[in-house]
Amino acid sequence: MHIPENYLSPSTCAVMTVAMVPVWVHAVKEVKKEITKDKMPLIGIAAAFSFVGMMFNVPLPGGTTGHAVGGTLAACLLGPNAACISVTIALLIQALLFGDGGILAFGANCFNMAFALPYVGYAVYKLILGKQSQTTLSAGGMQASNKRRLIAAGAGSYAGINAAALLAAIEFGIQPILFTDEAGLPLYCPYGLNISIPSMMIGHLTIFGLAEVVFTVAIYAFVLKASPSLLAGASKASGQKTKAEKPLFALLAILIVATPLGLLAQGTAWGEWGADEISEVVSSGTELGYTPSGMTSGFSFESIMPDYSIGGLPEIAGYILSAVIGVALCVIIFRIISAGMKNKIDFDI
Amino acid sequence: MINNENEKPPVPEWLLSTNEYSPPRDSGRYVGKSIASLLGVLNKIRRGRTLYASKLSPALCLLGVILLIVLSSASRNMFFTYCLIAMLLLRCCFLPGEMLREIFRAGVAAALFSALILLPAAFMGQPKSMLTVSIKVFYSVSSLSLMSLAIPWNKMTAGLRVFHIPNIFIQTLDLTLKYIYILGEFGYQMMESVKLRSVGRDRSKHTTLSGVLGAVLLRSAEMSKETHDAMICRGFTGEYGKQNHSAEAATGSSGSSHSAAANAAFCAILAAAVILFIYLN
Repeated sequence: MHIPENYLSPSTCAVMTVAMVPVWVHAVKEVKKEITKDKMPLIGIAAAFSFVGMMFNVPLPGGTTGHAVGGTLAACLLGPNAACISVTIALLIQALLFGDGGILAFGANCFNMAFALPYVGYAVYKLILGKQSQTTLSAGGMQASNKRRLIAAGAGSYAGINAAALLAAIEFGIQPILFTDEAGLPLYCPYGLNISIPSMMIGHLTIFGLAEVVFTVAIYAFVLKASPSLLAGASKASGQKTKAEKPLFALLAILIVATPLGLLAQGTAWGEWGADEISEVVSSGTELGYTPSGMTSGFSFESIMPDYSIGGLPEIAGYILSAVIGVALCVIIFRIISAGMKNKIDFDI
Repeated sequence: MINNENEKPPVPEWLLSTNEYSPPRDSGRYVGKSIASLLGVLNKIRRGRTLYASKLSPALCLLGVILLIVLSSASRNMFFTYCLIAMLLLRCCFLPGEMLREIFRAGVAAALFSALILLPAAFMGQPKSMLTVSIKVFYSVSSLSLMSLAIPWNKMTAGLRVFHIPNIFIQTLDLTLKYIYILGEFGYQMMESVKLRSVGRDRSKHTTLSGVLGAVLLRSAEMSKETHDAMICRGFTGEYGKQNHSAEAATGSSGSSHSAAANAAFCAILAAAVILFIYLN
């Protein structure tokens, strides 16, 4: 779902980025209010989970791949505003270091995955959860409510990822309508809405959506079981906090080691072909046969480790290394932000 | 004095006139800035001591970090450098944020600076080399600043003895590092007092500062003599013996001092790095 460079026209990218600015401002403001200094590193851990989740490519018969995003998971754990920021940081690291998603298209990618996805997912989650979340006193009630929470999180994540995919498909689809060259050939993404929406949605309504649900529910269940204190609203002593983070770090380590599973999925995700691949892409029986001119002459950015690989080495090594660096950066960035924050003391307690 | 009541001494003229003097405003930025920067350095020294102490033995840590930096700069395979960076970042994941800020501020600033220097290379068709060098600089500076923050300076100078560095060097280094702090604080106090006492505009600020520096110099000469005498009185023979070092390790074994497990793990990492280096290059 990462829109690469030159698939959207620069004007579309600009519009999406401008649309994203108030969302970022709002999210930062709200997070400053609702997340305390010692909870800040948790956003980094959520970003790290999102980063790792996006590395598990799931194949779909027909040659395309997709992946989970994990934005709803972050929204369920920390609220949609924190989720917005955490997915934004994960996307930024991917775009800058690993060339996954374009630099110009960063605003559009954030709009889909960091804005639409967590907010829609969280809305559905809250809708299903209803008011029951407040009444969790007895042990039995806790059990039932946990089950309900998991179902709500699963449904929310399914709705979220499909909303994001639909938006991405629409962004792809309007390109050939709006931007063509003199010969009438599309300048950027060559597929109209009639192709892009079904292509994106078939995958996301079925397997990728399922992957997102499994990813979200599995990790949410793990958090509920291993470190439920993270979910508690009240801030804890810092010693307890680090203890609660430990199982999460362990889970992250396991996921990092498992990331090469994502390499099993051969093929490229829909709408993420390179400029050299696109003329051979077959859709509805016909090869495209040309490379849109906006793609060959467009902006290009040389990332440090394009496609999570480093020249001349087994893919697996590069993939694991990329996962380690990405996850560590997510955690470190939010540690540093947390260090810069003022200690907030709530005198109401 | 005697017939005080009869004859009042004449009041000087200047005491009777109303004083209209209002001192011209001075920006005070010069002294203020000097104080601020001095305080910054002192704070850094003080904070570095208390924030976090590594469990590694200082000598091993110094040797290891130098080895890793040499390997990363000698490596022609970027994968190796990325592996080292990944290790550094992993280590950093478990450090407090205040420390991370110090580490990466230094690393990123150095990397940006070297990128700036190498900018012409990018225009002459070698954009990769700019990136490579900047990344290696980032790694070197970050890992060095991590080490300098994690290991107190007095431990580090004691660790130097393992490398058979002459005593006189270690003594000089040790005293220098200790006195940077003490003299810095002395200088800070003088600067502060100058600031409090000065009224109006000071037109020769450089002489003020040079006066302060001169006073610090005199003070340091005096103190070094006193310190040396004190050390000799307490039985210092000019030797930084190793027994000193091991005794300290024995007493501190229960507490914050180095642990064998951490040392072994660090050695294993170093060995893995060397093997990887040989394999990849």
